[in-house]
Amino acid sequence: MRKKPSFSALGILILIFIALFSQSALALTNEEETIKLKLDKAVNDTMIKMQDNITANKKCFRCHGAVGLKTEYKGKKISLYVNEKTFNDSIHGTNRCTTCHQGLTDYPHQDIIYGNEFVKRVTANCLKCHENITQIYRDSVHGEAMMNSDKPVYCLNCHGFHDIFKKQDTRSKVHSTKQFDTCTRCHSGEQAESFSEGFHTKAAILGSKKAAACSDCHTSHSMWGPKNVKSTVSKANTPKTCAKCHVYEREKFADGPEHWVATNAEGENAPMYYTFKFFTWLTVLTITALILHILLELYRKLRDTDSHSGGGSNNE
Amino acid sequence: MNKGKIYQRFNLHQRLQHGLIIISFTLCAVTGLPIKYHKLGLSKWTVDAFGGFDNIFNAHLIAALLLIFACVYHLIYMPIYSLRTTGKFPWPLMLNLKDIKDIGIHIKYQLGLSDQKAQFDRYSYKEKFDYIAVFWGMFIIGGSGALMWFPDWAAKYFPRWVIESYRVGHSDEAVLAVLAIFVWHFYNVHFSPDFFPMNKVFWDGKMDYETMAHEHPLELARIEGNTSIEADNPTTEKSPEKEVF
Repeated sequence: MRKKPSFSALGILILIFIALFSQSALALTNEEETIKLKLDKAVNDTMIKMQDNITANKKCFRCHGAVGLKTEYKGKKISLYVNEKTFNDSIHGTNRCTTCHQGLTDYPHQDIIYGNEFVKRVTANCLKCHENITQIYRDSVHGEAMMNSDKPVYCLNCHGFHDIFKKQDTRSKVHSTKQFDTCTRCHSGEQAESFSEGFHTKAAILGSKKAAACSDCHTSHSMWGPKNVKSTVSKANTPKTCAKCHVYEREKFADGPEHWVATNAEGENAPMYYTFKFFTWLTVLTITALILHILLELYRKLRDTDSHSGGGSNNE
Repeated sequence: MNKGKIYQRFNLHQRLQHGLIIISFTLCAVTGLPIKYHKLGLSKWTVDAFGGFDNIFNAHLIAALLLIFACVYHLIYMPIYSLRTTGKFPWPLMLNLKDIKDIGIHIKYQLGLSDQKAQFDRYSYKEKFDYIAVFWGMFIIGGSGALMWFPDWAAKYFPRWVIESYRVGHSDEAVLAVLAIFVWHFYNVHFSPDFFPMNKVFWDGKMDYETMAHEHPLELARIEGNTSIEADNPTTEKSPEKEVF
């Protein structure tokens, strides 16, 4: 009985607090009001601009949306076709074509360039909007290759051209299930072959949402070879990289390869190579012996049946 | 006479253990092989049928737990059961010198080099091979499975190359096991002309006198306290063809 009044007092207090706080939460100060208006206007303007861009792009697609549109460039047949639907769906679908294809304002197009030279120019455009990643990427082994190698790796080589999607989108070339196709276009050979053996890669290719794809260990934009001390897959950093998923930073995570092929007996591949050979021969020999045993039994049964039925026909 | 007499070979408890192994082994194979052969269209189809990789993988782990449980349970059950019923350790399940001799006798007989049949006791060397193979498989597949399931624990004790090598063994040994079951074991209990379409002993645990005399003559003789079980020679064997005349 004594506790009852104090409860109702508490209830009233809570109600007052709720009333006070909801008041202050709902009410906007003048300053906030102006920010909100500005934001609304910005969103509205952007929407209008995007719509304008899509309308403008329709002009381009009148020709470039035609399947099989080709031309000859320096003696080579090149495709000029772009899938309109894919492009409109893509992350850049609301950009104007001329944002990247600068200078192509009139028809017939002037100052045409194609291939690496053109990709180089477009990449310079990428960096205008995606400035945050520029410095990180320039510092990576891919970025180095972009700057001073005869086999440059541009943004578009991994992300695609007119089909760039967010990495969470399954259509994206850098989606965890697609990375293996994308990366192996350059990293072919033993690296690509190792994907048939690795559990991470198997799981990711089969659509696991948890399994590590290339970029989970090698990072997206700041990758280096394992010999570089800055690399996430260097001997010293590997345990830390593994522990992103596997809880503990075990030194032994780095004691053996992630990418190996069972057909190579050299170096770090050797233990797996000899295990593979052992089990292959164990299987071949065991199953051969078992099948021979089965055939032997059937052979004897057949002989017995033959001799019986042979005897039968004699009696006849 | 003893003709038509039925012998209880396995009790319900044992048949249920075998049943659990059938279910868990099959599920392990169905959920594991698509991961080994991930490039095949059938593998992708199977993964989709399970609703994605993470589902099929969880099913694999559950099946593996059931299989390990069945084997561990049996390892505890068998000595206790044997000691309580016969007062002895389950020696009839172990390989012995007679089995090695039986292999020679059996093969000679099958090649037609001799008409002496190998006389099997409660378990023939073929059955013992299947039985022991399960535990060899559990050592290779179960052991590697544990290392793969808990990589951060495994990497505390074993270097990466040990885990990777063991993993190679996991699926390669699994293929051996699947082949052994579907070729060898299925021949022995399903496709063999003696048992086609199946040897029903796994279902009701019962075996009739004729089959006992044919498959386990020494055990039958022991049960009947009689050493002169009718010789099961091809010359006196009743074949269906002969009955016609």
